[in-house]
Amino acid sequence: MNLVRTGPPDLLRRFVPTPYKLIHGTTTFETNDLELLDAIDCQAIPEEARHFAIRIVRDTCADALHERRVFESDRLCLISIGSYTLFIVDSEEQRVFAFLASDFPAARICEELRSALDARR
Amino acid sequence: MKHTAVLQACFAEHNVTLNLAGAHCRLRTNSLAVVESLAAFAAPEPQGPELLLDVYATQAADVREPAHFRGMGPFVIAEYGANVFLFDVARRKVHAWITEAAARDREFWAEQWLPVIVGVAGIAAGVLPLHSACVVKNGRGVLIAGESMAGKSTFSVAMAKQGFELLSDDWTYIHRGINALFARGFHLPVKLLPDAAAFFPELHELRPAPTLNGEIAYTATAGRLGVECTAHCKIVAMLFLQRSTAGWPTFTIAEPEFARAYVENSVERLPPELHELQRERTRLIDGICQLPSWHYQYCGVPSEGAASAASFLNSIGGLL
Repeated sequence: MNLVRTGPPDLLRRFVPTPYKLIHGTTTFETNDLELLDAIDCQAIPEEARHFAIRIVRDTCADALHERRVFESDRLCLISIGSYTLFIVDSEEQRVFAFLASDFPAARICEELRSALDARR
Repeated sequence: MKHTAVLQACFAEHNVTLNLAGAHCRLRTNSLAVVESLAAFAAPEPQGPELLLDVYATQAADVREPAHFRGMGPFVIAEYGANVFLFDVARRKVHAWITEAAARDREFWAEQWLPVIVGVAGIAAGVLPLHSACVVKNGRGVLIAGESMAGKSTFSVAMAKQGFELLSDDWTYIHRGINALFARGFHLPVKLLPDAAAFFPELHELRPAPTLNGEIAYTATAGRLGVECTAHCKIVAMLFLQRSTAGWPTFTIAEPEFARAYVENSVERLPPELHELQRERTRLIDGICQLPSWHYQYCGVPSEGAASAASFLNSIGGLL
């Protein structure tokens, strides 16, 4: 029995590289989309969130439906915009993880990030 | 932007413990409907690690859409339209916001959400989901692995017609016990591709239909197929199934390295943050690799292939 092994699948896109990094004081950003890095205004980050690590993956799925829902529980906040844009704010570990739909405007990233971080204040 | 809805965790009125295919869970929910939907999985207080499952039934309209999964760091998100699951695997927690209609949908819980919960977070409760079937004799189970389309489901049903009990035809959940590995399943209906009707006349009264992964298949319970099923067993062996177009049935020993490659390549990688769980997973995989394992190649109809396999397994002293 010969099986061709190509490595475990990454169906969740957990291991998408985020090679573009920005460090501003104690806030760090990582992303796979250079346009996002350019759009981030570090001065717009709330004072309370200045120690956060933020990792954002630009996803491959497009999404025209921009219904916004916020789910809160314990120390976590999940913001879901449409079907493919997600922010997870973990206030205890001071980190934000996000997936952005491919058509999510880079210019909106600061607004949504601020909103996500505000949600846990 | 249409609207913003903030759904906060509610006070948990109900608190029960569950056993989900070997994964011990503590369920907290504001919904009696959730408790009732999961009543079949109620279990005594667990002794080992447990998952915390917080389920909040909301007043949102019940919109069902195909599932969308994403993961980053220790988190996994599963969205089914209005129903959202947030897995915080490092903290052994699952948060769910579901509609009242979904809370009452026992079939959806049993066939979709519970397998997803154990599939994503089971390792946090010491359970490894393995893409294999499992058949059982005298409480001793044989895992049946193989690539997609190898015919695991058809073969496992054929084995069940050779005096074995069917534990699972697709996903088997492995956990460690004292000096042994044990398997559990979810008692799900068997999915059989349309060509299986040529081998199982019980399917003639059914119609194949699209399944969750888009395949067209028959969905049949063990009762419909006239086979016995069981919920758990000790695991004693593993077969790697391969169909051939000609030749006699052959059994060749599968080396532990092959078993390891098969298992490791069929499960999602875990991120570095989950290194403790990775160690637990590795211990379970080590156990699987120590099982007696064979490549089994056969051609012809499943009943003959199953008869040869049953004869082979029965001939090994002390195995079954």
